[in-house]
Amino acid sequence: MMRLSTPGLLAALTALAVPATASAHGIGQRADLPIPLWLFAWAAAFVLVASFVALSVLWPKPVLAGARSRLLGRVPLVLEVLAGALGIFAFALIVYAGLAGSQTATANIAPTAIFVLVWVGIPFASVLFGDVFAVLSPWRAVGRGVGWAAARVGGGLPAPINYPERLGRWPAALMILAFAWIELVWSGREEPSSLAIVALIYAAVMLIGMSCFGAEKWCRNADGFGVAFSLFALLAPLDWKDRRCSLRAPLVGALEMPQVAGSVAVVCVLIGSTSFDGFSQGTVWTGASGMAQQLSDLFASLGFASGTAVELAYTVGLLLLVGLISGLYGLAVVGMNRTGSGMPPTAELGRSFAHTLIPIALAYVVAHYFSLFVFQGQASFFLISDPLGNGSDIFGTSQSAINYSLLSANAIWYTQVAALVIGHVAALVLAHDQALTTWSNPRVAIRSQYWMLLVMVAFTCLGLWFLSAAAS
Amino acid sequence: MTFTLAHVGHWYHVLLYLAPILLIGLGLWWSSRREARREREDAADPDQAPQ
Repeated sequence: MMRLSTPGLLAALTALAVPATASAHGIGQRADLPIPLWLFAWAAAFVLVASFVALSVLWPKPVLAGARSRLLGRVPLVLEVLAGALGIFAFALIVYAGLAGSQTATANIAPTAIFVLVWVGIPFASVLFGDVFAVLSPWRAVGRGVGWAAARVGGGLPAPINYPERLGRWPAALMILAFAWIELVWSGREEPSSLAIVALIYAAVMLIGMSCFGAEKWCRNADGFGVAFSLFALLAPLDWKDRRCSLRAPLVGALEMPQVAGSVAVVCVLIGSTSFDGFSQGTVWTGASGMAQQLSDLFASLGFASGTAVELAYTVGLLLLVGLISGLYGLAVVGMNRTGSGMPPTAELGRSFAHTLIPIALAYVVAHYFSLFVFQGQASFFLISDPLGNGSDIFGTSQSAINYSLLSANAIWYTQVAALVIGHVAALVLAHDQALTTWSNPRVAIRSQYWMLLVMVAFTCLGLWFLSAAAS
Repeated sequence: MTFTLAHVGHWYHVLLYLAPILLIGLGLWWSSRREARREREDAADPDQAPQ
């Protein structure tokens, strides 16, 4: 049973919509590379080992924690209000288009806005410009607005319930997993009206949670989108805090990742779900006797309807990949913990190194969704003129088309490989610096990172295998 | 086993991606053993330990 992920489906549907250009360029074209795909994994592993040796020799003391940032300027309040209003308007437009517009996925703006512009576009914007979602978030805007109105009317809002510390970011991890399930498993993901209803459920969860625990606390811990995007923003050179914009050195922001319960789960779900997106397009999963078919047959033999059996099979696959990524990271942490005596507990050590996974999560997003963003992102030009797909032409761009010659298949492949290698080298740098902070003896610190190096090599080879499987 | 070997063409490429992980794992295991032995020797003979 061959199934496409939502981005893949959107790309394929777009390709069908514009057959002449699609068949000639871009999507569907195979890379013509000078060396076998597996050799890239060997080369990437060599780069990681060389980087590890270089770090061991040239980076004897922790430096990232002491790096300073430079204040660039203040952000006017009006800009924050306008960005919040834009976020509310965009959310309302997506929901309205989903409910009232055409139910053809490629003609309605809702699927492209959710799966391409928000889920892929905002991470890219965040890593360049900082936490853009924090200002665009409709929930934070509503929270600020309600707080302001309550203060004007009198007395302010009642004190929120204390947020349970043991919950930490687990709600956000669950929300990201639920979104990944919708994106990669759910059969209703192609229907704009179904997506709009899910968006309304998301809004209800956010508004109820904010009412109980306070807007800021709930957004910081439970909003899966907000938490994920804020992690990517930690890698940005620009840091926005309290309406101040500062410039900081690369990677320094990652150290600010909150070490709370569920923080490791958030990054593992991000990496695991993206990995499943790649894995589910390869023959090991989709082949005639692939895992998907075997699992579907198993669930069908248990009495489930064929559609439900396929969804259950894909759910198992998604959970397996998230479990695999979590297991690999757990292996690295347990290995580190065995390096010497007087180590912090394993869970604490795991949280203190969780920020090293952020560049990997970003690398996986770039590797898997870069081409989708470049190609399907262009659809936003005509969809913004005709968001409901009813033939309107608000901005005069409804006749624009996707240019599939923008990137060659080779360029996409090299970008994917570069993203994976750079992401894992950045992760090694963060882990090395954190190890030097955790262990006072540099020799022990370096030895502790043998495990991390091995897991990084495993992540890289795994990522390249998924990409090669999807490309073949 | 016959079944697995009959489909070797479908999965042998996985080994090519697995090989660097195994090689590096082996190298790191050997290196950590060598360092542990050196540390034990340094501890047993403090006069020879590097300053």
